Amino acid sequence: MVDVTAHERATTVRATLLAILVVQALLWGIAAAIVISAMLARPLGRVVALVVAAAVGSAIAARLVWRSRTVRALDRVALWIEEQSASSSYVWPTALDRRYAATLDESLPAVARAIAETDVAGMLRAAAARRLGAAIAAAVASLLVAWGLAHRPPPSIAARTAAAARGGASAASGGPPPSRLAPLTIRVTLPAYAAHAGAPDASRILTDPTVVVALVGSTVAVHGPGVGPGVRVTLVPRAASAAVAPAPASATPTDSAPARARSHQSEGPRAVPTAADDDGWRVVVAMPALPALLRLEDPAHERLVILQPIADAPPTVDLLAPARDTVLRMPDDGGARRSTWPTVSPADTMTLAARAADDIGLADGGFEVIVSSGEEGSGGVQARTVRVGSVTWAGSPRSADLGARLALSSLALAPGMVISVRAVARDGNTISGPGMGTSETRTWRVATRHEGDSLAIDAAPPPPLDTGALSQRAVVIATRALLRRIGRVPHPPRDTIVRAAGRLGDDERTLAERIDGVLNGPQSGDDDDRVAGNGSTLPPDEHRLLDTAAAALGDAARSLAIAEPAAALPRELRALTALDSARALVRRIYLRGQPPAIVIDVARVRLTGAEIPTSARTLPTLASDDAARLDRRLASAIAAWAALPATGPAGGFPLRATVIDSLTVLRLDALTTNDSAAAAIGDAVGALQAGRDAASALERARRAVHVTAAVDTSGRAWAAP
Amino acid sequence: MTPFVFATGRYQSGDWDAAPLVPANLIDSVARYTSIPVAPQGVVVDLASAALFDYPLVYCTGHLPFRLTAGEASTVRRYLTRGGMLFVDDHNHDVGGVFHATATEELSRLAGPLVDLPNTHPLYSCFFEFRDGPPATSHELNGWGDNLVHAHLQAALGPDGAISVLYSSKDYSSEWGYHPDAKRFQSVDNTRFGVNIVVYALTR
Repeated sequence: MVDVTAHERATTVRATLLAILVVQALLWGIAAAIVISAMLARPLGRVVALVVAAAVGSAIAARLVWRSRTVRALDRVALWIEEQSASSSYVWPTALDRRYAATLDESLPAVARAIAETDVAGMLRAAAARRLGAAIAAAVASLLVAWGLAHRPPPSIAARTAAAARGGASAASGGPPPSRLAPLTIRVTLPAYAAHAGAPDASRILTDPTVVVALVGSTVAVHGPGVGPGVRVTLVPRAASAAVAPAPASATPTDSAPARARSHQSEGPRAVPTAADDDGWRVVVAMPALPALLRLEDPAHERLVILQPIADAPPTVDLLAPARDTVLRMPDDGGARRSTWPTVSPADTMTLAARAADDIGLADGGFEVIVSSGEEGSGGVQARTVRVGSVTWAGSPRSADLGARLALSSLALAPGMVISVRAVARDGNTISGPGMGTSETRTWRVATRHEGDSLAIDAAPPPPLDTGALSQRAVVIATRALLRRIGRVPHPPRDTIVRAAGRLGDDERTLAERIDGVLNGPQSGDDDDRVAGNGSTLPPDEHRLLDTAAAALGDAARSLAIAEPAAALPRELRALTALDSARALVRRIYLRGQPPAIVIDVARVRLTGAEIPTSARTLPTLASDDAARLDRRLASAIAAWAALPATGPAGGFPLRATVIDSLTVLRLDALTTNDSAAAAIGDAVGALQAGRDAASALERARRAVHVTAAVDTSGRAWAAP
Repeated sequence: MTPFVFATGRYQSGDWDAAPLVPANLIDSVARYTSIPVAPQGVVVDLASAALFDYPLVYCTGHLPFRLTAGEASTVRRYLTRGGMLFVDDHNHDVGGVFHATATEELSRLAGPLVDLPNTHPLYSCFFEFRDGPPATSHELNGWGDNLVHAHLQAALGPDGAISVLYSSKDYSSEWGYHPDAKRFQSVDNTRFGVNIVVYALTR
């Protein structure tokens, strides 16, 4: 029984060991396949990665199985059991030997007992735990690694950040393949109209920029290293209307830029075709009218470049002559005798002069003269436009003078005509222009027949007691102020007090004389019969009060004349009381008719005011959606930045690259709404890329955004009951 | 958007209609300088009427005593509490006059003490900038009335610091009391401060 039992047990052990080894091999193969699949999914694609992973996994599993092939032999199984048992002494190979198998119990009872006492099941459990445990752990680890790889940021970000941190060095060995997006060389070429001889930097080269700032319509040629397909470039407009068609790579910058800048067909992100170059790839775009993002993608890398346009301003034109509006008179209109307006003669000319300036270059200019006549109510207004002094400038100067002389006889002037003159200048913008600037308009009007310019202004004498002299109340206030000054100084300078009190005394004397004039009539014998008082017309009570006031004023004037304001003050107050009492007795009669009902023609007067608001401080206003959104996004980016571990320039890799990308896109959005915030965000990006602290720049950005986004919720809302 | 309607307050005492041209003049200025939708004609509203709540800014002026009836006082108090703004101008330009004495007393009772408004208040910069505070009127400069150039306006402030009652002793009612077409004869439009008052009332 023993030999049979030993053989059966050995066979069972072999089968179990085989199963363990096969499962172990499969687990290791699966683990390897998972890791390889995750690593190759992004660069090679999912299908190819799966095929490769399956092949490698199968090979690993097969190799492991092949290594364990000897377990098929029972003598090897017997030796394995002997290895697992420290107390065994070659009993299992002996028991399975055909020479002893039949008589084992009788010939080798000790061996038979040892065989029976061997704990084969325990050995198998230990082997399974050892071998399968390691394999299962490897499989779990491979799953974790695969999950991490699947959720990692694009390898380009990591590679770019690592490259920035190491000064442009390529990614570490074993990382993604070398980037074809670094270093980038960008040649910016001004549009043809702006690239004249006087323009500086008609073409300039930027190396590895994050922002390209250039005139609208400029050609932006991006060049990168490496060959072969796979580099994708996408133009992402900041606003839908900002899309600009890309240029074919074969087109030359100067001849293709205008057409590209005018083509605003697409509204969303658009792929820009790339072309192979001598030593790399190349793509050409025209600077759009609004900020845009240039997204560059290599299979293993990604990069963002902001296109920030500079708009071409229209020319500014100042009309120097004629300097002002004028009214002319025809010699035979019958009104010359009553008028100071100049009379026009057939030989007269109008001198026109203007000065034009432009930020890029001027192309042409001239004067527009509109001659109109007639009225709306009598046959309508006829107008014709005459252009004089037209000039085309060569060399696109930035400033130029315009001049012309217009013979008035050529306009066939007639009474009622209006001559409106303005200067016009155009720039040479062939991309989005030409930009046109105009001066203000001056008007020469020809007077109608029998029209006069006389305006009678008769200077009226001022009414009594209303001539701007100091009132008694003001004198009282000034006297009290003088007394306070005297009290503050221990030894006040006497001359100063005398002068100040003397001036007040003069005022009191003047007031007394005026009251005397009211009581007794004017002293100077003029012919003003409208003076209110001539002594006999005042009621007795008023007369008495004014008499009292005049006497008090005289007393006060005398005290002030000898520099005794303290003594003058009670007299001044007595005069004031008398004057107020007299005024209270006066009966006021308001004679007013029905007020006119004025209806404002709001549409006619809308925004025609000549005054310009100059407010530097405004009330808080509700934040726009854009500003509020920008504020939220910046807060989110700052939170992500704050969470970065501070472990050197490459610390937080690749989270740092994610923050940089977020801020770069944020800067693009801020360009059109908040220049200050955009500049500060750009500083923050630069600091992060250089491994410096971005706290200061981010703080400035937050302040700039917060100013726009601030919402004052303290104000009371208007509410009906 | 509902256009802004300039409202003139009518009260039982005194001459509430002493400056009939001011509303049209300010309506014209609001249209000239701002894009605020504005009704072409002002309205007159009783201070005791619930219609008062239809207007965010109410202008009152006069020469004679400014005394409010119980109904007027109750409505005006609720109006101010709910966010309305009252602009009261002394047409006398006289701090010793009856309008000043009675109006300041009534308004202090309704809206709290009237304090000097600092010349840095947003009222002076919310549209046009007045660095020296309230612009002087020709009456002040000519020495009429109380013969003072008032350096400050007075105001009753709400709990949040916003003006609920703006009181002027400068007689803007005389300064702005002319037909709007006459603005062309002025070198500087003197109704600019009126635009500030309207803009402040609508944006505070």
